[in-house]
Formats: sequence, C-alpha cells, structure tokens
Amino acid sequence: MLVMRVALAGAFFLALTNATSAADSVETSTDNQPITGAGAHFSWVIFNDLKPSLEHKSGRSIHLYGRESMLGMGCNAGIKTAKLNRHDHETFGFVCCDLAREEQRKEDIVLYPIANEPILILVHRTNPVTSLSVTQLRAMFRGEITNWKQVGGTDRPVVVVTRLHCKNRPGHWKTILPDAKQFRQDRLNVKSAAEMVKTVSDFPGGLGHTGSTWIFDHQSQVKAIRVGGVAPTAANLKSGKYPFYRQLGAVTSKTASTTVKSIIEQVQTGPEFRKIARKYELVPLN
Amino acid sequence: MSPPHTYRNRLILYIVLLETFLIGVLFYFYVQSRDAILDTANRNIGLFVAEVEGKIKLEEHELQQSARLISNNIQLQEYMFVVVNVGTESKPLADLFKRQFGWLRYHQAAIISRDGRVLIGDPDPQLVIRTSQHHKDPRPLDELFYFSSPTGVEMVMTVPVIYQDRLLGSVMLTQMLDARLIAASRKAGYGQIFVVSDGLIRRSSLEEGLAGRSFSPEDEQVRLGHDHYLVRRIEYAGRNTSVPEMWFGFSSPELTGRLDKTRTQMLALAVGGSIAILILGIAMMRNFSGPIGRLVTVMRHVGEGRFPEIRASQSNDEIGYLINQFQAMVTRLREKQDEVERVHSQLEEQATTDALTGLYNRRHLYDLYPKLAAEAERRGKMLTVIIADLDYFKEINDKHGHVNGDRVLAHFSSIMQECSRVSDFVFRIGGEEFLVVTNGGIAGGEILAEKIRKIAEQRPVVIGGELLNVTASFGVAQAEPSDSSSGLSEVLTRADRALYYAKEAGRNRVATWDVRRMTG
Repeated sequence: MLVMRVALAGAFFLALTNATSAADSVETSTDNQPITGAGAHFSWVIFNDLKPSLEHKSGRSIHLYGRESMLGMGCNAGIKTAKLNRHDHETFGFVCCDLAREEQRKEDIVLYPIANEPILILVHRTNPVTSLSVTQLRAMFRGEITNWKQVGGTDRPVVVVTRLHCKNRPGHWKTILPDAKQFRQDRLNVKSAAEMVKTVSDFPGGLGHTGSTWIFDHQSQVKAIRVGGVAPTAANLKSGKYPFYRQLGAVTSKTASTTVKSIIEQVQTGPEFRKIARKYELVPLN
Repeated sequence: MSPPHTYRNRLILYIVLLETFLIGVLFYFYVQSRDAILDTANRNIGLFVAEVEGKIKLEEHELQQSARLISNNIQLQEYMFVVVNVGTESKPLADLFKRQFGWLRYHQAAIISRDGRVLIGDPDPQLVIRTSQHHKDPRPLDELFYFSSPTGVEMVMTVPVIYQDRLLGSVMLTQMLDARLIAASRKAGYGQIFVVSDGLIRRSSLEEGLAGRSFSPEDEQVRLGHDHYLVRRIEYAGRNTSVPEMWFGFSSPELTGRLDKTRTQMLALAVGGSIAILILGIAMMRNFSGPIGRLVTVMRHVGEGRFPEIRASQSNDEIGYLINQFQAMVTRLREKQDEVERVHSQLEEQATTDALTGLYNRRHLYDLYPKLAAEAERRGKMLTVIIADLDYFKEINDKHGHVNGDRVLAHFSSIMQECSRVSDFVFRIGGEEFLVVTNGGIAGGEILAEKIRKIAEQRPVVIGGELLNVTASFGVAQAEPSDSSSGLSEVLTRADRALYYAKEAGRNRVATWDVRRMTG
C-alpha cells in the first residue's frame, strides 16, 4: 500500500513537471492556461467546492488535485506545487497547517490562512462512549488509560491511531499532545486521513483523529465524540470551548500572479466560502 | 520317376521368404519403435521430474515471497503489534489481512503470535507447536517444511514478523503440494503422481482408486495391477520421513498407447500384405507354375511313351506359345507313334503269317508251340498235332498252273480255318503241307482231321469254270511227356509218320500215330 501511494504520488508530480516543461517550451498566452492547485486534502475540499465560482470570476480554468488523501498529498505536496509556479503555468498549493515565517522564507512562499478546522476525535461506531474530557483523552493518547472501561466504556483495550504529520509545524495534532514522543508507543501510525478512518473502523477499541472537512463514506465505522461534552463545531471552536483544531490555508510562490492571489483571496473573504465554512464547521480566519 | 517340382518349390519358397521378410520387417520396426519409445521415456521421465521439482521450488519461492510480503507490511505489523501488545481482539488483523492479502495464492494462512496464540487462521495444532518452537529464537529465519495433513501434503512457509526490532510472531502460509500436482497431472492428461507412505499408495492421480496398494519400485519400475510403470521419486527440500514420498510415473500403456494403435495398423498391414503376397503367389502358380507343371506331366508321359491330349492354351503370352508349340509337337509325335505301331503290326503279321493263305507260317509255329505246350502242361493236358498234305498237288500245279495251284491252297486253308475251333491254331508249314495244333486230345484231333478231309472232298474248287475235286491226307499225333522241352520236332516226326501211313494207304484218309504199328 505504501509503495502504491509513493508510486501514484510520483506519477502525479511527473505529470505535473512534464506539463510545466511543455508549457516552458511553447510560448502561449497565460490567459488561456489553466491554473493548477494541489496539496492537502482538507483545503482542497474548500477550493473544490468553490471551483465553479472561482473559475467564473477569474475567467481561468482551474485544475485541482487533492481528492485522494491516500495519495499522500499533504502540506509538503502543496508547498512543492506552489513552488512550481511559472508565468505560463500558474500554480498554488493547499496546506493543513500553519507555516512558520522561517519556513515561508526558506521555501520562498507566501501562506494564505483560510480557516481553522476542528479536529474530530474518532471512535468506533459501536463504542458506547460519546464524550471524553480533555484530560481523559490526553491520558488515553499517552497510554495512561488503556481500557475503555476506565472511561465508562466496555472492557476493551484502547487502540490509539495517530497521524502525526507535519511534525515541524505548529498546530493540528499538537493541540492534543504537543510532542509525538508523548503519544503511547504501542499505537498505530497511519499515513493518511482515509487510512485513519479505516483503521479506527477496524478496531472496536480504536481512538483516532481527523479534520472535520473529511467526508465520511458509508463504509466507515467511526463516529466523532464530544470533548468535555462539547461538540466539534465552528461555534465551539471559535468560542474556545472545543480544544483541538488546525489551520487550513493556501500557499503560493512569491512570484504568483495577481490572478492566483485573487482566487485565494476570494476563498478567504468571499461570501461563497461562508457557506462552505458552515457546511464543514470551519472558522474563517479573515 | 515323379516329375521335378523345383520351380514350384522355389516359387513357394520365395513367397514364404517374402512373407517372412514382410512380417519380420514389421515386427522389427514395432520392436524398434517400442524400444525407442521406452528409451525416450526413460530419459524424459527424468526431465519431467526435474520440471516438477523446479515447479515445487518455484512454489516454495512464491510462497516465501508471499509470506514476506505479508510480514513486511508496516500496517500489518502495527495491527499485529497492537493486537499482541495492547491485547485487543485479532479480528481487525484478520480484516486487514483479508483486505490487503486476500488476493495472494495459498491454501491456508495463519498468523501466530510469539507466545503461540493463533491470531489469524485455523492451523493444525502441530504447526502451531512447531512455529512456537521456532519463536524461541529471538531472530528466527524463514522456515520451509512439509507437513502431512489429512487433506494431503502441504508446503509450509513461516516468516517471522519483526516490528521495531521485536519479534511479534510469524506469518504462516501453506500450499497443497500433492493435490495440486495430482490436479496438474490430471489436467495435463499424461503422467501419474503417486503419494506413498509406508510402502503404500495414499493418493494418486489415477481415476481408479489405488489407495492402500503396495508401492515397491525396483530399478525405478513398479507394477500396479495390469500396468507397468516407469517411476521416479520427486525430491523436495525439507521433506522428512513423516511426510509421504511423491513419485511421478508413466504407465506402459500410456507410453505405448499410440504404438499399440500403430500395432493394429501394422498387424492389418502384415495380414493384408500376406494375403496380397499369397494372392500374388497363387496367381504366379496359376499363370506360371500350373502350365509348367502340366508341361512337366506331359513330358513325363512322353518319356514313358504316351502322348496325352494337351488342351491348347488361350493365353497369348510366352507360356501359352510354349504350350501350343508343345501340343503341336506331341500331336505330331502321337501320329508318328501310331504310324510306327501300325507298321510294326504289319511287319509282325508278315513275320508270323503266310501271305497266300493268311495262316500262321512255320516260323511262328516254332515260336508259339513251346508256349502252347507249356500252358497245356500246366492244365495237365497234352497238345495234339494234325499234319495235312494235299493229294497230287504237283499234278494240279502242272495241269492248271501255279496260279490255280495257289487258289487250291487258299481254298483248302479256308476249309481248315472253317473247321477249326477258336482255340485251335492253323499253320501252313510247307508248299501244300498244313498243320493244326489243338488241345482236344488225340480223339479230338482225329475227328477234326476227318471233318476237314470230308469237307475238302465234298467241296470242289472252281478253276477255269471247271470243278476240281481236291483231297488231302492227314497224320495225327499227340505230344508225349517224354518229348523234349519244346517237343515240336518229336510230335512233328510222329505226325509225319502217321501222314506217311495215310499216303501209303491210298491217300484221302486220316492216320493216327501208332507206335507199335508205325515204328520199326
């Protein structure tokens, strides 16, 4: 599975690079070229929902990549895509983390924060537990609580599933535990959100996390629980009652055209995005 | 002497040789073909077994690669780690296994934890025990071995699952070995697989059940039922004594099946060829030997002085020409022989008869009398001789000429023949002297003589329109036992003395020899 993901991701970048090279070799009008956006799935969901509006307003065709999180399209892929920007082949990227200024300078990119996304705490659908306190959750992720009966559930071992991506960036899972070393060792590490959902679905005692923008299919056997009795909603996140979240955003090359920038700005501030934010319980940052 | 049959015998010999050659050639090729097939089979069976062994090695390799693919899967390792260390149920592991590796080719799969707990699958307890022993080594290696299960021989591959430098357990995959080989053999339609343990067949690719039959190959050959098999043992790594042996073999009917079909054709060819040669031989006998045989028979008859009728040949060939020419030659010979016989008969008649009277002549009397005397002696009788002499014949000749004299002689001889019986012999032994040999005894002779005398006296001969009375005198004598072996001269002498007495007594009379009266 890992090999397949790497291969598919490689194929995607190769296609992308070839498309760019082809564009370099032929002088064409940039106005007719599509704009490519790729990267983290969760930001892609926003852009993808707004795509018709964005294309209409920009007058440009926009190609978006990020549907399959299983491809390993994460923040790094978003940054790489943004850096591929050329005058004849404009690009931008999706990220699901905040990026430090040092990293932005180093990568020569600009971060456009879009929204904060609640991080859902996932358990198996058959698990009777519906709410856990922050303390309980952190104890469970640390491995201090190992059985669900300790938190009012059935006598079943807790199977911790984590996706500790973007370790050098702030936010996201670090709102649960600030350091990967603090998570219990005998846990399951997954590489994508889809794998996270699948793994928690596999284990009746599973405990995992993912962003609220994730679209659950009918095969998933998971549910999101309350934290400290608080549901993972935009309102609760905005009010500070819900503790776990991350920042979704877009990145562009510093040389990005105004068209690209305007597209992102429309997402950041446009009225259409407000509807999307409500749909996915996002908290707009602009 | 029987006619030679060399030609026919040679023809028969050639046909027999031809038949023998034909059958010999067919038999030779049949034996050669059979030997060639068996020799080739002997070589090829090794190749087949090597191929099977190669396939087994490939299976082993494939099974190992599959097991390694599973054991090296990070997700599976993590799941297994969680199951083993967290103590959760193993169903998620089974679900993951089915989802990720359900497509792999194996018979049974199992994941066994380091402490011997079966996490996935339902392996045989012995396999679990063996794998647990394997886990005593902290870094066990891949292990391949064979296992005899109730369903057959299974190839077993266990590969350790190492996660974060810790042994979690093993992945075990099995593959049916004998069942697959048997199925492959049946599908291929040639060669047989025998699974043998303790000298008995446990399973085989043969449709008929051979289970339980003894299997004891000698010199890589074994007999099962009516069939003979060339067999080779299939070697596979890791087999121990508790695992059955596997043998690959070809049956003789399987090897020579096509040859047996050919044998029928060859037999038909031999029979057909033999019949053809026989027909050809018969035709040759009929067309060549028959006519030549008939010619030989005719030649034999010709050699024996017979000249049989030969049917003319209708054939327009050389033999027909020869027969027709030979027929013409034999016909000519037969005609010549008839002519020779006729001339010979004439000469013989001329030598024994008198030309004037047609009676036997004197020379024939000397030839015939000893035979007549001997025959009469065998019957206990004695011959009687009558000598007749015409009276005054010299005067008749002188007065009427020799021609008329001859007519008188012919007249008298006809009277003698007329009066004689069939068994009497009448001779002209001189000019006007005649003789009759009769076996009617002396009295019979006297009566015959008197009869002739009277008729001659009463029946004159016509000469020149005149009747001429002719008489004759007769002397009668009988042969006697004291006569010599031929006895003719003695009896002639006695009859001649009696004739003398008849002449002396006045002629025209009969006188019988009387030894007292006529001697001295």
